[in-house]
Amino acid sequence: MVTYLYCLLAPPQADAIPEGLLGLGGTPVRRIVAERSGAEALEAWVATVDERMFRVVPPGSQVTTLVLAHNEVIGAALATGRTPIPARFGQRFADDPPCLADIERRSDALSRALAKVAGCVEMGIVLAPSTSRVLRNLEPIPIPARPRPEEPRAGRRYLEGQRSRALTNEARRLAGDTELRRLTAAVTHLVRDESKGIATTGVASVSHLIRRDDAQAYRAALDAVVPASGFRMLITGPRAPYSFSE
Amino acid sequence: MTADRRDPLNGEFSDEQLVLGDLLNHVLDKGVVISGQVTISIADIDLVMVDLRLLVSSVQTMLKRQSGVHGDVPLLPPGAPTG
Repeated sequence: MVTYLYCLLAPPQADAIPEGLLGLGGTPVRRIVAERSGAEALEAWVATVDERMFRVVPPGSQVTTLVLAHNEVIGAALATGRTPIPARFGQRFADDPPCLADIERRSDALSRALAKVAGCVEMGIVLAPSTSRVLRNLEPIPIPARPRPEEPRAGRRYLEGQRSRALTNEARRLAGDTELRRLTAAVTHLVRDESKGIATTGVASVSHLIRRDDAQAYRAALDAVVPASGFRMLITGPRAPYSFSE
Repeated sequence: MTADRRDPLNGEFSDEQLVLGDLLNHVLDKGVVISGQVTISIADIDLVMVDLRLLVSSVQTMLKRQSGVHGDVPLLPPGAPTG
């Protein structure tokens, strides 16, 4: 059995964990406190879990189940009214003492991180291609007729096709970036910090650290903005400040 | 991190899939690293145990690193399962 770390909070609250809160593998969540001389103590939400949970190679769906369980515990921590620093998924220690020792060793930096996110939550914008654009992208590419002797050969045509695709992908990425900036402008007045995601599979995203009380205003401001043609927008959050806890 | 779950009818991710994917990316790729060991998922390869000193990454970080330090760090420890 190992100690699994979910998140860190300050200041400690003795009865903060909801009764019956279960985490990974249905194990109960508990709290341990890293005391610090002359400074505020740090509270860690942990669980004692079976190490085999991580050694067994589960199918992808089980990975998702574990990740969602991790996030639910951190959501419960956020619901206490304090803003937790989420731990990266999968961090575990041989027992409580080494976990506490590592927290205490990094306590100054952790306290600064907690102070930065205090009273805040993370919201986000996910920008994806609209259905019409996806369908357009799926339109068949005409197959060129057999080249005449003076025309480029297959190898060159292949390379030219690759270059064309790369240019198209880059153009899409730039268009996504531009649109994301335009949408973000609607909430700039609420944003205290920003963390940009990496565009993959045509999806771009950005995370914003905002005051907890501003979550509704953030959504309302974005709801009033119409995404440009070819894009659809999703608003995520409020959630714990994953993107601002590194 | 996960298999391509695009809707086969129209070829795009549903809103639910996008939100779930975004959340999975955040939980796997963000958050404070104290120490100890972490478990990650790489593409369709199931959970792989790595030591923090070797590599802590999810797919997005991995992709980001491919352009910069590709090959500098071992992706998997010797003897790790590969699928």
